[in-house]
Amino acid sequence: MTTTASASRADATGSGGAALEIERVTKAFGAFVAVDDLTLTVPSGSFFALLGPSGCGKTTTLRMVAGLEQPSAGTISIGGRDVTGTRAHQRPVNTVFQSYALFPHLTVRENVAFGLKRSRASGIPGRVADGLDLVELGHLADRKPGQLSGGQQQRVALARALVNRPALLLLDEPLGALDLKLRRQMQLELKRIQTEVGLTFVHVTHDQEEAMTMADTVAVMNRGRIEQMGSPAELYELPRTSFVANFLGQSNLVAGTVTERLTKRGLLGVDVRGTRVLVPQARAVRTEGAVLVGARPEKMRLLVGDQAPGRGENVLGPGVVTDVSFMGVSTQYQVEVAGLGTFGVFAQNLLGGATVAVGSTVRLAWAVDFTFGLDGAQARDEGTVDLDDEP
Amino acid sequence: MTAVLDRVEATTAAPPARRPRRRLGDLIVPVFAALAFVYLMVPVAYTVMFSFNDAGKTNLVWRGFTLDNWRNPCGAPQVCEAFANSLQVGVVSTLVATALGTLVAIALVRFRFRGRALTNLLIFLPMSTPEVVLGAALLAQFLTLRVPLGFGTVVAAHVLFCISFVVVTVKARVSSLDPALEEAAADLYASPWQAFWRVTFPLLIPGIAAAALLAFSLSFDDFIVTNFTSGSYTTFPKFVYVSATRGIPPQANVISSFMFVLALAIVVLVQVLGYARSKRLRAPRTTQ
Repeated sequence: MTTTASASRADATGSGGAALEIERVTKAFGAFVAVDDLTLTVPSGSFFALLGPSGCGKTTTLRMVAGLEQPSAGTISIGGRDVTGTRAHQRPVNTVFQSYALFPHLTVRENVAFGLKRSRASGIPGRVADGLDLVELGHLADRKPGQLSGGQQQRVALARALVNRPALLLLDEPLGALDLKLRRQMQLELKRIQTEVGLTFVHVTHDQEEAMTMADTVAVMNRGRIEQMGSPAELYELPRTSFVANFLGQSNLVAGTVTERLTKRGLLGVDVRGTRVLVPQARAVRTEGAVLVGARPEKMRLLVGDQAPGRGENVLGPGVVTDVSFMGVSTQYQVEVAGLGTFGVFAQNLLGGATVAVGSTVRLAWAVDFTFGLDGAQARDEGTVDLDDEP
Repeated sequence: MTAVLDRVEATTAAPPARRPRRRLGDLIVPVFAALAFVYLMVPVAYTVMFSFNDAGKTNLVWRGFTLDNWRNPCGAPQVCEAFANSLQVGVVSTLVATALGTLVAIALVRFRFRGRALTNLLIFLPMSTPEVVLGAALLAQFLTLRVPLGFGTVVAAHVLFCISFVVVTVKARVSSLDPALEEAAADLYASPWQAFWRVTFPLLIPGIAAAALLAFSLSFDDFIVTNFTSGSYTTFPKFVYVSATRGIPPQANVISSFMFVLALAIVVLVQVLGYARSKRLRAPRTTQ
């Protein structure tokens, strides 16, 4: 694709998009509170992901933005205009539904033209053709949705929403029904289209990898509330709750108690079952009492024998290697440390293959700088991804 | 090579021993089906045959072949009047019952409201009530309210029992529709009114058409309820029944045969169209 083509297309679909502001929104279904006092701002032109397990209220939030549900309390503004109380067809918002919801009695072309016809737009045929070109489906314009594959239907649903140049494009798990390979391909495609048209995308998903690869900003939702919001790297490197630490990637978490403050160096000394572990004060949610000390598996390394830790490293152990999985790029070790539980360690296969065998006694070392501290009152395994949910 | 051949022979050689018995068993279903078909079709064949009878006073004995009855189907007094009445009643009741029944079906599937469960139950009542009871009750009601019996009362009665069948038929169709389709329409700026006419209604058409055909055929050949509620107004089934005592004119056979052929033609047409459509839908896929 040439730059001029993409530029003109961005023009054709209207760049910009509008900001979305959700203020103190609550949605209750009877006694069940699906969304609990949610406040959220999505800047215009950004790719925003709402990430959370099923039932966390992310889809309800999306439906309230679309106007398919009305909030029990709070306000929703799009582009600075309060749209609370207006109905779906009155909002400058379009949705790509999880089930695609293509109109089976209309051709692909008619499906894409549907929104434009309702809003009495001008130059409909040209815009429909542009929209279909954007998703590379121009040659299938006269087919009915039933004659398309899942991936093609997904792209029609996307084109049908995009041609309207909505202020806000909502994506409700749009890739959920696709197989893994196609999903990865569509992720890149979606990202490309978003950059090209420059609209505000709000993407709802339970797939943390999908959220991280695509979005500029990710909000992790749990039980109707936002646990943490930030760029994918921020959320990953510095989780603020055990839910985020476990739901977004994996984390090794151990319980401990703050015993000293090394204010000069900006560190906290934490006692973990008799071992002192250092946590940067700025990376800790709590600076006293019970805390959870965490580190990502790829930040950890194994110390074999009397191998000494480097400067500025925390050390835990000794423990026994219980499992070694060779994964090509890396090797994943499981290390059981008595009294502390199981730790995951990802080691890059720089030297080719696994270097430590099952049953070996090792210690764990990782840089103090990569350590994070969480509230000790939270459960260690909160948000651990259920294997069934993994794609 | 020979080994392969041997094995092929071995596998094909085994079944013939059991074949004759199985063949006999295989015959049972076709034979019974044929018998049942004959049993069902004899009265129809009789009706069609006697529409060509050169009847005198009664159309009970075969007196020779003629096309006169078909050339002049309105030859006998009142035949065509009754037929026209039945058509009128059928069309009007079908339109009213289909329109109301469709709305009820949509409401029952799409909305939660007080009395929904009760409505669901009551809808089945006209279907399960014996027609004699329904007819007698309606007659009693019309008499009490001093409604003059005739076209209006017949239509009212027919709408009453047709609506149940319409609701049941259309409901099945509405249930199979993805509610997200209507949401998608709303999301694409369609007002509720536009969403209904552009998305919901077109998708319901097959169900509505089936319901309308069913309603029409129920209304057209209803005798019991009609007999109670029609007074001196004559529909085709009532005409046939009344004239049975003094001999049914062959023109009645002509009209009956014509209706039978028409119904058959509609069924065949629908099947052919459906086949052509599924073929059209399948064709492009294979080219990919």
